[in-house]
Amino acid sequence: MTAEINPRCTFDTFVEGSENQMACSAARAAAGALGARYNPLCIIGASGLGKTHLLMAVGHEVKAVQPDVSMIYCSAEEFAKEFHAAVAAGEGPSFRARYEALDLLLLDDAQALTFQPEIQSELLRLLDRLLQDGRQMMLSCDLSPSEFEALDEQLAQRLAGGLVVEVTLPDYETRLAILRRRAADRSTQFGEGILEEAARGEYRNVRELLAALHRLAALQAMQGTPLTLSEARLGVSSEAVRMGGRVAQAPARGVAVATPADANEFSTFLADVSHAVEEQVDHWREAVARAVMVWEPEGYRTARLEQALEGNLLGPVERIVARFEADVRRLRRLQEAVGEVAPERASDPVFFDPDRTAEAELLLKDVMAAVRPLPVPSDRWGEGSFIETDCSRAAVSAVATVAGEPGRRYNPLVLVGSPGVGKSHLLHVAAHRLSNQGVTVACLSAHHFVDELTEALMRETEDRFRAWLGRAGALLLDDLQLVGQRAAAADELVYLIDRFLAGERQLVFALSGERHAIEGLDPRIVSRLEGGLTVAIDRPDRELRRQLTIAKLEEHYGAAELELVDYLAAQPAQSARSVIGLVQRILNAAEARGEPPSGGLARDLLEGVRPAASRRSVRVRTSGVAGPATAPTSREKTVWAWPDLLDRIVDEEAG
Amino acid sequence: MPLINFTTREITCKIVYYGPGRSGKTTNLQYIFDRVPEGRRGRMVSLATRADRTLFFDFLPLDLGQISGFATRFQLYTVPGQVYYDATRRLVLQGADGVVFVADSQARQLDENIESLQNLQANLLGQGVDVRGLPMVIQYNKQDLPPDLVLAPAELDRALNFRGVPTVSADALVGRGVFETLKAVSGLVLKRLSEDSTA
Repeated sequence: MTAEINPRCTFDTFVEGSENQMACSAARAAAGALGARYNPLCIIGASGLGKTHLLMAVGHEVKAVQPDVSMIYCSAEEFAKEFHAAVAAGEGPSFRARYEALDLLLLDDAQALTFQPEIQSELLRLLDRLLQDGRQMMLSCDLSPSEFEALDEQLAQRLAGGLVVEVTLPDYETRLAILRRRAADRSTQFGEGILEEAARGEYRNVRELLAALHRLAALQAMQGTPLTLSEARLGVSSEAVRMGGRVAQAPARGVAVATPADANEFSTFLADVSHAVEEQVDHWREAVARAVMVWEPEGYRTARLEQALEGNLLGPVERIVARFEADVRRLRRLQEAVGEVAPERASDPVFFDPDRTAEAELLLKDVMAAVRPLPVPSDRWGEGSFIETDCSRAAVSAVATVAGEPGRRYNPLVLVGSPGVGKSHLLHVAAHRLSNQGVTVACLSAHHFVDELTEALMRETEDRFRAWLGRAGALLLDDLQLVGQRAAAADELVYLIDRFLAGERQLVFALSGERHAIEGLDPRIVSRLEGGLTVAIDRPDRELRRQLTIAKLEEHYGAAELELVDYLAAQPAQSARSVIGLVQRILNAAEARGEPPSGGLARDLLEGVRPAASRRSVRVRTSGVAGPATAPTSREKTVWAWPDLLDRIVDEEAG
Repeated sequence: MPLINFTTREITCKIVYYGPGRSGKTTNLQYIFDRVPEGRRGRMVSLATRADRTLFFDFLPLDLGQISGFATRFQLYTVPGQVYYDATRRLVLQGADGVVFVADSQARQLDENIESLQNLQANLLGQGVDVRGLPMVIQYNKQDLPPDLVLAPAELDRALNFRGVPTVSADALVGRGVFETLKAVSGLVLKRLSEDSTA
């Protein structure tokens, strides 16, 4: 328990006087020859006269001379508590062993042992053991041993057998010496005669004497001028004192005034509050200073923080630092964006001053204005013209999700499906939606991507190519399968995918083929796509075929015959494109015959049910492959798509 | 009420003394008023009945001066303890930064203490304030009365202090424990400066 010894309580700081000289000498002697002189040494006297100071001074002295000495300083109350706890835990023997191994036991406030026979008995046993082994015990007590109530007779005899020495109230000289020592310790200077005046007062113990010194120091500090003798007299006496102003003169009769003790009560409260506020303000300043130390070495101008540090706080410090750091992050993003397209301008000082973020944004705008615009989605494939049915519902839902939270949900998003099912359309819809959300989109086909890259490679301007697409907030690429077949394009795409994913920027791809088509791509691309979501758009279902037919017919005639719609919707189709192609055939035939498109005409054309007089019967396939036609230039002769035979069989069965 | 205003560089703490009737709330404020130097305190506003019961509330503003560049002010309020002044209590409680619950240590007043504490919690809840998050100190007043009339702090703790907030034994008439209570609640309130600071 040596840790509890107050480091200030040494013999050097103990002010000796006639009333404590003997106790001090005995304590020095005991410290100089442990167990050999005055053992046990018991210092008695009223509270606040320096007994504890002497005990601790012995502890310091012994430790200074013999650092490895085994020593405990504790109060009798702590000793009793520890003993009870040890007994309760069944560790009485280890408690005894610990204390019996001591070279020095310093027991303070031994009067606490009265009416505790079991502790006295334990202490007696310990004392006998220590004395027997020539080790030292030193006690302090507010009473003389003979005055102990209910003290064990043997213990009283043992204590009396050593040296019992008393400390009494300090005399004037000692009081003055104490006041001078303490005033010097706290670096407080008083005018001539002030401390002498204070020393003349009557005090019950040294603590009261020191309290008077503290009052005088507080009064002088608050007044800002040295105390006069009369003020000092009032300050240490029980006369009126008003804190915060001049010391009051004699109070008027009947007027309630605060006593020095009262004023001390308030000043203690004030000191506590001041301390609490200062702690908070210090905490704020530390936070700001830390931020300055972080950002200044990185080249950022920290004037705003320094202003706050000087006391000009314009808001809660957490918010000041957070705003500064948010501005720094913003500058870094702007600087990075500029660096991608114009590296020579990325070192502009504006990017290192958080108070100039607006200027940095303008600079970025200027730079971007000078570069080529990003490819934008086609207006032809707007959101309103996309027909959502069961075959595309999952894909539409995925697009809605990524448009709502770009870069955070399905990233990358891959739309896969047979040619002509609407992947490109939906990809452009996604681009429109992202653009409407304020995202800068780059929406292009793989052909476009490869052409641009090829030209960049030829001109050795790959960096500009990367910067061009790299500044987009979202990249949407159609016909991904075409990129995957070219090594250089695949390399570049892998680079871009990584950058977009790292920046939580949205990627959307359209890929022709079945669900497993993704496996045919470059493995590096496949592994990156697998981290996102692949969603298929199925071949047109009946509802989609129906809606497409109505839309096409209404586009030409303003209305659609129900029989014709039902008939065409019942025809199986590989893709939306083939549905539209079929309707177009009917329209062409109707136009050639000079009659409106109808169900009968369609049956006639597709099934040969009612051969037309003016034409040869034509066997029509709904796959988009036109059979022989009367006019060699007819669209019916066009082969729009060559379907896979197996798929076709399945479709027709399903249809 | 903002606890700290960076624009005007002010720290203002509103502390409300709550408790049953005649528990000693006004006595606390009166003692503080008497001990605070004139330059540091404002006029104590007290509306009382002829029988010296608090009719509306007591209000004592304390100006602690400039601390670390902030003008620091404490505003001490009491509420009327009588059951029928609940509307006033709710009004005074609004925007409180800390609460001192002044409990009457007399054994026969235990039910009133509990009822008042429940009333405090209900009124705070009505204002959207969770009592568990509000700095609070319980003062066990009148501990100077004969032991057979009062409950010991440990017994009062069991009945009232289920949250384990700091407690102070007091005899407000002579001032024992009054400033200790104010210091304790001030410390709790000021600790929250950085947590709750708003512009």
